[in-house]
Amino acid sequence: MATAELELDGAAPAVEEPEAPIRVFFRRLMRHRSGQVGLIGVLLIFAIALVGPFFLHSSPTAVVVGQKLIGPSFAFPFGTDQLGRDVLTRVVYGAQLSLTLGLVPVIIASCIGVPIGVLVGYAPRVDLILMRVLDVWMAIPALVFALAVIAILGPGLNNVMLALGIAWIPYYTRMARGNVKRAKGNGYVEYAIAAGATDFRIMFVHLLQSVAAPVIVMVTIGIGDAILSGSALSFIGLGAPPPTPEWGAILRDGREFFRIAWWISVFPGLAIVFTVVSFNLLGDALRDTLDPRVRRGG
Amino acid sequence: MALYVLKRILLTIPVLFATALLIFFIFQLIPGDVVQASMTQKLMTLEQQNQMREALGLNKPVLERAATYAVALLHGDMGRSFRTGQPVLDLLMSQLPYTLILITASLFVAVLIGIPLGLAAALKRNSAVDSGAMTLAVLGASIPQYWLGLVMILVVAVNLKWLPATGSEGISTLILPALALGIAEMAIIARLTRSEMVEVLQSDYVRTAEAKGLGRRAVVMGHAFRNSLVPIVTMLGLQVGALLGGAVVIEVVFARPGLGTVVVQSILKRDIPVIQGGILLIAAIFVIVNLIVDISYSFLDPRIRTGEGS
Repeated sequence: MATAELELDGAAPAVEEPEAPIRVFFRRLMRHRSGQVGLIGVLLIFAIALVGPFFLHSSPTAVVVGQKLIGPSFAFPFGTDQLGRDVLTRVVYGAQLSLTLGLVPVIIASCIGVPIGVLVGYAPRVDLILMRVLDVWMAIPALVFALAVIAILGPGLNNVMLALGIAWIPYYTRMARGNVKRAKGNGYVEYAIAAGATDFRIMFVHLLQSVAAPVIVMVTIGIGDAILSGSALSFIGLGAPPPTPEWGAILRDGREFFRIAWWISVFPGLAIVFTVVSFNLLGDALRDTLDPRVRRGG
Repeated sequence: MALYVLKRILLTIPVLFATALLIFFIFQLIPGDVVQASMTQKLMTLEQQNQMREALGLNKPVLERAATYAVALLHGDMGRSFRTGQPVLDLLMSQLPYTLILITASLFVAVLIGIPLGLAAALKRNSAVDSGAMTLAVLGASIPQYWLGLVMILVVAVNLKWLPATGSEGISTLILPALALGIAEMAIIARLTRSEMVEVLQSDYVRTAEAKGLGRRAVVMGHAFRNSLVPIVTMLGLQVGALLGGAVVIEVVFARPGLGTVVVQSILKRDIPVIQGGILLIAAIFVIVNLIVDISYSFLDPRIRTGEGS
């Protein structure tokens, strides 16, 4: 009842229609310089991953007979590798794999870590014990923790994504917990309790909303981190096996030949840099536009 | 002061102990058991397997094994390598200096390039210097370290022949790996230094110092920068975790000995005791570095020592 009255009160004197928050957000984001660059870069990568393969006439594992280790040319803009495979084709097909590699770990970490953080931040009784467990968990550097998971599950791209996802859970939990604790002080939790909301509703409707903005920022920057870490694990032989065209794996496959054929290593590397820079710029812009606490900062 | 340091050191012991137990229990999740897992390397008869289980005490309940493991750790016993039979601790200790040297050198890269870059950006805010430094910082944080390492090997070692590409002897072999590993941290430190300095330079006491007639240099270095040091040192401590993870990859790229190389080889060869010990040792380094950071606060910020303020 109380909420209904409040909404009526708010709506009645509104002469001017206030701009929807989502539109304000997009306007701010589009005015942010690194936001523009980052968003365009991210959209471009998604476009290449989705439609790129349709523009290529060969598969990423197809071998062009007699065309081994050819430098960049009109026919092969990124050159060919030691088996005669077109590097451009492999890099374009790799976009899908590398984006998956970026997305899956942050989805795992945020979908498990954030609800736990909200729960712990709201219910202090579980807090003390669980935070000690997380402290210990975070005493193991994330990439090293991922190595432990891979040691148990065995190498492979799926296991790398799972390993990174598990390794990053405590970081999302800690962030969500901190934001929930701050949001609890804002008074609207008391208001929701007074209005008769259940604990579940308070946690997963009201408080989850309060962590949405920082989670979006952390996820965006996390995608870049996941691509860096995941491709690194492929590079040292623990991730995607040959002939998978994941970017880190292409780099590993070309590594033996890079003294005579730099293009096999350089182009997939540039693809990673482009993708990670785009996500990082977008993440920075999102932080500036979504988070009121840093919006004032330089 | 001494009490504060002692308290911090004592608080670290249970953390190290809990970390060891967490790693122990994670490795209990291995499908089948350790013996089966190591079978991918060499085939054993059922009898040999059972002998190995007996020798490793795998027939005992897990809590009893955890206790045995903890007691053994206190005696410096991490078990023996499945492959070579060498004590794990000896093997790891022989590799530890290489990793520590690499991490330290990378921290130097991060501090010696990152802090001046951040300071320059903050003092010349919104200028070409600022945007140049911050572009460099975004790039530095987005470049895969192993790829930067490869490109540097190709350009600096192979083409220009200025520095050796691989090896572990002398300073010259350290420069490229330390740069490849340190650039990402340099980027983070540069951004942090800039944002901290921008904030501090607008604060009241900096204005007071300027009003007193202190020179620009004295205000910036003596007052403003000194107050930015606590967050910078905190960040450096936390970033040692990223450096320890990155070192694993960089050691492989530059074919350097070290903890990372040992752990990666052991993962590929399913040598579980070495992996478990290596991960524990890396975590222990991280915990100890953060202990040192905590203690260093009390030198940087007297309020922490006396318990005033935050």
